[in-house]
Amino acid sequence: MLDLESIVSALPHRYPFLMVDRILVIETNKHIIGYKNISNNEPWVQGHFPNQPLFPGALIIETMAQIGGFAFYQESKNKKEQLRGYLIKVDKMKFIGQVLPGDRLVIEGDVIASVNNMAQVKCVAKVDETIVASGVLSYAFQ
Amino acid sequence: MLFNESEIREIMYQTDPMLMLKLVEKIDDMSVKADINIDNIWSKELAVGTPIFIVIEAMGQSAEFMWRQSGKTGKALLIGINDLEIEEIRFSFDNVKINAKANISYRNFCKSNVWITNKSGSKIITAEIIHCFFSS
Repeated sequence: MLDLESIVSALPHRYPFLMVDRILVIETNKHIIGYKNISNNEPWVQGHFPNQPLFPGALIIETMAQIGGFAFYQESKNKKEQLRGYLIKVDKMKFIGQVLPGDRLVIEGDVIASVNNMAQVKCVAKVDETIVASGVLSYAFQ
Repeated sequence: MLFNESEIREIMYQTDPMLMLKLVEKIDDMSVKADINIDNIWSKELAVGTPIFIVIEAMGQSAEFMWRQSGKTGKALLIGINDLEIEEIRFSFDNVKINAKANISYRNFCKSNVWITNKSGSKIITAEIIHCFFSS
């Protein structure tokens, strides 16, 4: 498991773009599980939509991208070299359920291809074990 | 036909800090060009270049705006994205344009082709975006 301190030292993202609260399972180059707690005091709440907050699909992808990248986390590496990956493609992304304040958005990712500095991760987003979104993310690593 | 920020606010459901369009040019009922504008809260920390969340949200809003111009009403929810390809992610919002073109619609489901061009007109990000409009 990775706590917030470890996550922050591995990712360059900071508030309001840090979308990872915990990493629960890492099988490097194979499988990842992590989550973000969705709160009612986040910046998007006011505008998407007024008085009817609904976690935006674009932020679900951002959350998938950040957690999915941890599938390539290696603890022994120099922290400064961790996870300098760039999202280069999103495909077959489907949003099939709503994510609301108070929900815990759990992301499960499976590495489906990895060649040289490129990799693909199939991600599933769940709330209370129900799938709310799924898609395939492709990364390029420096 | 040009829509300024206050006119865009009248048409869209999103408000600050989630409204990300500042000027939209309606080419015809089936296509628009748009400029991106982000709230200060999103520009505080751009440590890794342009966040993909902003790019996707702005592309989706451009497509949504276009469908509203062709008569769609109600709340629009993003329900799918295919073939989002990113050639370049480090750019200034002042130097890019979003282009949205209708692909197909069936009842309240609307598919759009959306792409971002840089100053020289080259496509740097492309995607197929699907919305569903719900009457409220």
